[in-house]
Amino acid sequence: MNFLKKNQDEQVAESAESGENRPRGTWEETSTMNDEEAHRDVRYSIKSSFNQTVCMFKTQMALYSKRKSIYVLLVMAIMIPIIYYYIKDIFPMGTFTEKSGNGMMGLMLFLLPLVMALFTGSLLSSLMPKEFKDRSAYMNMALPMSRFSFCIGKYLAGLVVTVGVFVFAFGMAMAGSMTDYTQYDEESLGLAFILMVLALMVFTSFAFAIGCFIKRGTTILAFIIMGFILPSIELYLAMSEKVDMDMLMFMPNLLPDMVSISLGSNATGSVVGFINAFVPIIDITELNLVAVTVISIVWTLVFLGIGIFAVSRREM
Amino acid sequence: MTGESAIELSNLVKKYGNFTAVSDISFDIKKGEFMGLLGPNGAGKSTTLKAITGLLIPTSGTIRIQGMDIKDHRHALEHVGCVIETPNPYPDFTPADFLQHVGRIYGLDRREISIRSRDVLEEMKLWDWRYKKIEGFSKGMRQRVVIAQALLPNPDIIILDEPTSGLDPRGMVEVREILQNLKKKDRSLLISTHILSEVSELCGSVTMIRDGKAVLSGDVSELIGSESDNAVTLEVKMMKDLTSDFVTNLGGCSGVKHVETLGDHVVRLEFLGTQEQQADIIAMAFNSGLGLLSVNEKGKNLESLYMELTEGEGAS
Amino acid sequence: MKKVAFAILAIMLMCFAAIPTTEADANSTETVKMRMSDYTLYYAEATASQTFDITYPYVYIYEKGHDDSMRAYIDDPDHLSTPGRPLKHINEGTTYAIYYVGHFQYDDEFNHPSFTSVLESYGEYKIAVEDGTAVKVKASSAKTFEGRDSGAFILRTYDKSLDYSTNTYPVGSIATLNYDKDIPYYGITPYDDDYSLFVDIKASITLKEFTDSPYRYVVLCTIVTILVGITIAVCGRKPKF
Repeated sequence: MNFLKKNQDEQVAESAESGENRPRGTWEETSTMNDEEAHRDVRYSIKSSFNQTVCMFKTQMALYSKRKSIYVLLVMAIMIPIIYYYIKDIFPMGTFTEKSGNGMMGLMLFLLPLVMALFTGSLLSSLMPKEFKDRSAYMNMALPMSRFSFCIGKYLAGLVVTVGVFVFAFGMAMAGSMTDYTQYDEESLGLAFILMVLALMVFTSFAFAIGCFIKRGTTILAFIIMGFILPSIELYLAMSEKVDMDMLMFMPNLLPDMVSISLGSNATGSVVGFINAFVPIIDITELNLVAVTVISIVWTLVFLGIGIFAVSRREM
Repeated sequence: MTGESAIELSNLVKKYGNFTAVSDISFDIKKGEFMGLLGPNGAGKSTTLKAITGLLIPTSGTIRIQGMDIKDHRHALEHVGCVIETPNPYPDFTPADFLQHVGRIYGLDRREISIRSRDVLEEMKLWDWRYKKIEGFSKGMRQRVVIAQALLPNPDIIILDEPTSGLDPRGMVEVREILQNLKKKDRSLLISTHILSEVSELCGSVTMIRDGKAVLSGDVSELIGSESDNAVTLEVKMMKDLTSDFVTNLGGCSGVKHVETLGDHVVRLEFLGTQEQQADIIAMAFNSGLGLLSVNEKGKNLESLYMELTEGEGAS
Repeated sequence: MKKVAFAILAIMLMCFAAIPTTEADANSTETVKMRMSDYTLYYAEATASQTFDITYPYVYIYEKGHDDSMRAYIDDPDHLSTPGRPLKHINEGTTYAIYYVGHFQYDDEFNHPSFTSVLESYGEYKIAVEDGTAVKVKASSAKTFEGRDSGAFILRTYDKSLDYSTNTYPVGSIATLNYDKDIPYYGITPYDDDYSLFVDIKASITLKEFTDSPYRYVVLCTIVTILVGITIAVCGRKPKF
């Protein structure tokens, strides 16, 4: 490493020597321009908060483009139909799953609850801790930008990337099912798609909020809470009949289970989902989609609000 | 924006529970003024700079930047470039990506970012490294990158926390030259540093902080005083061993207040006199036959002032 | 900036474009009430020729004119009521309304009653699933003749030789009946481990038809993925200085 630094410093010195002969500020289009025309020696003005939020969004998207984890997730999504092709005969559907294209999709998205908790934790829980760990937060927070724009810009980038990955996975599941089935129920597909987007909004905002409170970025905490702790509590409340099961439909972590169930697969790969196959807990036959949408948006805003509040009060 | 003040700090107090990090610090940096912030480790310099740049919320006191309260973070820092607490740029970014991010936040359009980035990258001798990932940079090069981002928006006010930390001697000189050039453009500078020669060279005023309190504040030249008011120390080094007669004769010269021998070859004199008297001392040493090697003069300067004020603090 | 903002807006609109297609079609869900029993319920009016106590369990006797609860149970379209407690002590000379299932053992004690059937046996609710469809059955209640919750129903899956296998489904859970060329039909029967005479099941039966093609959603997923990919690529471009 010392050797490398020495070479870098030497090269910088060489660059300095060569730079001495280069006219200062020369740039193809400005070589004939004076400072005024090139807008060089002027007072720049910041733009609106919305504009800065978009700038932060673009920066975070650029950071994501350089992270290998995104490509790993895409490869894993591509594997869905391939894995399904090889193991579909191992899992007889029986009366748990519809024998239809969307039923097959529901089966392929069996692990959606756990995968969603894990991936949103991975992509979003580390957003804020990484800023503080890498010390880039000391620079960003001292820029003329509100912490609100900073947080929202980063969150939106995480949300868009997550939606992209999971919609891709949804499409891959569809592609896999189309190898065996040509018959689908469009209502189920539409409901599942909407529920998945709502689930992503809630999971991403929750993971982001968790990240705003912790110093070291870890995927595990958000994953454990959404994937195990909350479902276990809900299971206990449902089985002991302390809570009306209809109220459980508004719990945020059950949304991915509802995706598989709406597609036609009653058993899902989550703590609640396994039990649901035998003891009815999640029932979407009388699902009020408007109410679920509103509640999900409320959950998203609540988690985001809590996270942004934590960051805004954080002292560097 | 009103008034000639660039940064106005009034009765700044910052407490962490029962611990007072900064207690009632006030200073006023005028437009075009360069101020140095000095103090031992843990004195409260970084806390003060963080409060000015909005990285933390003061317990009490007011901070105004160009007449605007720092509570309006965005507009107060609109024309401020800063480097606080050795931030790190995003390691996955290149200097080009990083400056693009900062430029966007400051409201520069794409062309202005290109032009200004080229300017600052060439100033910081990083032009040939603009497309190389920052994670491979040495500490010194990263420091150059963060200084470049502080200069990018052509700020009216620059706030730097140990800007030459990690730089090689050539880099330190270059940074000081850049900052000197800013004086001609009527920019204001607030710099916190341990390198007293930097403050002496760059700054017209200085504030010394100890235990969270400002113990000294004012123009550097006023604080140090004129030569005629202060004693200087002369170190006379001879080739041959000192003799008692020689030491006695030196002590008897006009203007010599105190004589002290340091080893067999060096005599330290506390001298308060005219230049002619000083010339007589040198002539006497030359003619003594002991072989005059050197005469070093050390006036009361910033370093000695700093050492007096921080006496008892330990290593700084 | 504008391009990125429009891209985000497009992504979000596309995600929610599916909402209009998700309105529930009430016609595809049917609520049925099934009363199941292996027995027929018979009725007669008769006068007791002696005084005695009823010991046989499957005879339900009320004084004439006082059998409203049983009538309500028989006629009750919602199967919500349960029959009142029958009499166990019979007085000579009194006229009674008599209901029984199975076998009437008191021919000598009553004067030649003539019985009519008032509630036929109905052992199974059959559902045949056609190709390209699936049926979802969910029982919302299962009450026995005595008013207990039996808590479940049994699903029989028949093969071509009319042998069947069974699965038990708790009330509230959903049984999915798929089309299979080797399964002529499914049957729903009550579950009651106390062998109650009649079990009333209220169930929703939803017919799902798979007649749609998924291409609209294939296009949606493709476009969303491409838009996100383009957004990442645009934002991650190397700035040109």
